[in-house]
Amino acid sequence: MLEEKLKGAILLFEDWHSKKYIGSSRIRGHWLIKNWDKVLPYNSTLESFVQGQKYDFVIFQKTYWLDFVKKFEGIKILDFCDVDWLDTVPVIEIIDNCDAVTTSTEALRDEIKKFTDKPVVCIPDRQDLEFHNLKKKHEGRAKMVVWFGYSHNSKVLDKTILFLKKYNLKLKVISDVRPPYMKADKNVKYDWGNPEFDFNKEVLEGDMVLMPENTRARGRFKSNNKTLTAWCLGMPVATTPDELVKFLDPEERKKEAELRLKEVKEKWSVELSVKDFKNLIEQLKNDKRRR
Amino acid sequence: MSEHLNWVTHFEEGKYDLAILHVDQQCLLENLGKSKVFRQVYSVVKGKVPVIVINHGTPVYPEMFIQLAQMDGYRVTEEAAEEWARVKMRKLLDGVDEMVVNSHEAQKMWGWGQTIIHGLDPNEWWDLRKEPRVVTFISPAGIGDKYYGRRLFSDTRVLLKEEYGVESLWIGQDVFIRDWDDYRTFIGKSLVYFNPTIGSPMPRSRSEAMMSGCCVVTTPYQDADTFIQDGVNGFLCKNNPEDAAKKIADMIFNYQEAIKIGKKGRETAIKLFNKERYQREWLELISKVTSKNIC
Repeated sequence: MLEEKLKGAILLFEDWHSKKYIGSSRIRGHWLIKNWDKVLPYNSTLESFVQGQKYDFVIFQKTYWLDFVKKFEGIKILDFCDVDWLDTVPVIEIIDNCDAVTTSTEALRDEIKKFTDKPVVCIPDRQDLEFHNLKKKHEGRAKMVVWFGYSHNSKVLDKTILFLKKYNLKLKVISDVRPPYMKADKNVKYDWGNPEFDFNKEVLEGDMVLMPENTRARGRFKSNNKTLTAWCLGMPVATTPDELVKFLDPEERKKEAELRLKEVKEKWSVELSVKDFKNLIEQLKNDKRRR
Repeated sequence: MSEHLNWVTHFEEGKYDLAILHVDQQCLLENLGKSKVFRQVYSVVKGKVPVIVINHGTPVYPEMFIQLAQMDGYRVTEEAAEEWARVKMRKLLDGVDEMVVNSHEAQKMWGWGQTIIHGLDPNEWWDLRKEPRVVTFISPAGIGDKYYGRRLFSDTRVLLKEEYGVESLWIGQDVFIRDWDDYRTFIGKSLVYFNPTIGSPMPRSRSEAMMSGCCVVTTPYQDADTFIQDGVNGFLCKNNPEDAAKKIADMIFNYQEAIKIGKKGRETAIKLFNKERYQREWLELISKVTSKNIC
C-alpha cells in the first residue's frame, strides 16, 4: 500500500519576527524548501509554515514558539544557528518538548548536547548553487578586497587595515551599515528588496574576499557560510596575511577559485542538507512508531 | 505569622510585651525618612517594653560615612568611617535589649550583637530544569555602590559580554517579575546566580538562589567563605571582574557541572538556612529578653 507523503513546514525566523531577507532564513529555510523535491526519498513535502495548516513535521528555524511546540503532536525539530541562550533566550523547555535539535555548526551541536539527551545533529549551512550564479574573472594584480556581513561583526577587520595599506589594496564593505565601517574605502548597504541591488555583482567588484579569523567570543560558533558564498562566486577567501599576499597574483586566484568551486559542488550543496533533514525526519518518524 | 505576633502601625502602652524594630546603617543619617521613623518609634517604646532591634546592615557605607566622620574629626579613610558608624550605632541603639545581625562578620564589624542567620523553607524554593543563564538580584536604587558591589557587578557584566559572549540578567532591571511565584520560577530555572555584594550581610537573594539549586558565584564577604567551598557547592570570586567573569563563564559553558554544584549548594542551604534553627534561635532570644525584663 502506498504511504501518504508527510506534510512538513519550516517556521522561518524572518517570518516569526516580521523581518525580511534574513541570511539564516534564506540558507536554512528558503533553500531547503526550494530544493526539497529534488532529493530522494520523495515521501515528504516542505513549505513555509502557514497558520492553521495541519503538518506532520515542523522545523523551527531559530524560532522559540513554546506554546505551539507543547501542543503540536507531529515531529518537531528545533534548528539553531546562533547561541541564542547566551542572549538570555530560554531554550531548555522548548528543547525538552522537541524531538530533535539541528545546528549549523559542530561547536553549536557540542554545546547543545550538554543540555539534552535528545538527538542533536549538525546540518551545516550549505549553498544553493543557483543563487550565487555569477563567476569572477581574475585579471591583473589584486586591487580591492571585499568583506561582507552584519556591521556589528566588522570589528574583525581592524587588524587587517595596516596590512591592506602596505599592499595598496582598497577595502569594500557590504553590510547593513549600521554603523558603516569607517576605515573602508567603500561602504555598500545591503538592499535585498531593491531590484537594482545585486549582491553578487557587488562582491565581484573586488578581487578576493577578506575573512579574518573571528576571534571574538562567539566566533567559534559561527558557520562558514560567508566563505562558501565567496567560493560560489569564484572568489578566493583570504583568512591570513600569507593568503592575502598569495592571492595578489591572478593565476593563484584562478587556481584557488576553480578548486573551491569544485569543493562547493561536491560538499556544500544545499541538496546535501535536504538529504540530512530527510534522514533525520525518517529516523524520528520510526522512533515515534516504535514508541 | 502567629496570632500573638502583629505588625502594628503605632505603639499603645500596655498592649505589648516586646517590640522588634528594624534598623540599618542608613538610620545613622538623621534626616533620612526611615531614620526618623526608627528614632521616633524607639523613643516611644524605650523603657516601656523590651526591645530587640534587627540591624540589616553593616558599617559599610563609605559614600556617606567618610564625609560625616571627617566632620566629627575622624581621618578620611573607609576604616575610620566604619569606626564612626560603630560608635554612632551604639549610641543610637543605647538601651536596646539585643541587636540581631545577619552574619557573624556583621557582628564583628559592629562590635556587638547576636547573629541569627535567616531561615528559609526548602519547599518554597523550586529547583527546576535550568536555563543556561546568569542572573543577579541586587538593589539598583540609591547609594551603596560598595555595599552592593555594583561596580564589580557592572564591570563583570561588561567582561562577560566582551570576553565570553555571555549576556547576564539583572532581576528588577532587565527582567520584570510579576509576583512571588514568577520570581521563584525564574530563579529556579536559572543556572548561575552571581552575587557581587561586599558590605551586605548575608544577602537573602543569594540564599534563595542556593535553595533553588542555582550554581552560585559569590564574593567571599560576610561569612560566604565559611559555607561556600570553592568549586564544590558554589564559587568564591575575588573583588575582581576578571575572576568573577571567568568563573561565571566556566559554569555557563559547563552545564552539567553547574547543575551538580547547584545541587550541592541547595544541600548546604537546607542545612545552613534551616527554618527550624532560625525559629528556635528567635524563640530563645525572645524568651531570654522577655524573661530578663520580667525578673
